[in-house]
Amino acid sequence: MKDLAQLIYFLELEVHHRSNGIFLKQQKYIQDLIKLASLAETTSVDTPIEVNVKYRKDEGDLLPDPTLYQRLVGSLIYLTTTRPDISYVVHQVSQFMSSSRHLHFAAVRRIIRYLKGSSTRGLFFPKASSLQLMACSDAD
Amino acid sequence: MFLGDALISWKCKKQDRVSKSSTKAEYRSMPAACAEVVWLRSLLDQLGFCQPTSTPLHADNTSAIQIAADPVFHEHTKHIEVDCHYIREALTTNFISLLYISIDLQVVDIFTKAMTRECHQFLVGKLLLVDLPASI
Repeated sequence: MKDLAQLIYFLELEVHHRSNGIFLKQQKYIQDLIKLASLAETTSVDTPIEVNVKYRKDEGDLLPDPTLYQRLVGSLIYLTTTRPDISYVVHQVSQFMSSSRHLHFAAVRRIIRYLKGSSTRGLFFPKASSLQLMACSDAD
Repeated sequence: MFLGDALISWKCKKQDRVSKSSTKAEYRSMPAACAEVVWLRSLLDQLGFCQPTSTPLHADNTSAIQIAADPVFHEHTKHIEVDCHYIREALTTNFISLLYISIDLQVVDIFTKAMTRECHQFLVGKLLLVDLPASI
């Protein structure tokens, strides 16, 4: 086995080693995603989803070609590796992969606009942190 | 699930069965979290970081905590499937301890509902989801 030195970039994951911990982000992946969705010219938003909106399977018109929707959602699912803040919304939109409608696509666009404003964000693992495990669970 | 301050594992899942009450929904979400805890504990153990104390599992529903803590067969819990009571076993063997957490501080809210900007940003910070600090 060969030592390839410190991990910096692996499967679209950018790894930053700092004296106080490790930082993981997918900034480049987000930028590629924005390009794929052709949303480079839009403004960003502060939250990934609107409050009090419920998405249904049979509301609005079907997308003529759902391929882009499916590609975007697939990419978003991978992006949840470093962005737990979008896991709820991505989970919502991924429920409409087989019957994607314009309303759902609007939701996906909103997620990407949210990412646009926060593409440098990532997960930080502090070195000094304790090794005590802690868990939370909730249902809604 | 946090290891110290760092977020190491999370899951957002659509309920696979119908729940008659919110308590039941909460109670059902606990064994899933509990299974992950049990696995992580044994993994950490193998890596040489034994967890000497029980792992706190935070939930924001006191009735669900009571159902788990009290092994009495309640009239209103008899319809809950047996596999859900797995949590009781984990409790008695001291793998986990159940703690109540107020709804305002429940970090996992970010995985279950849409939120206002303030709430969202507060929880994003809690998850240690930050911008890379340039100084360090």
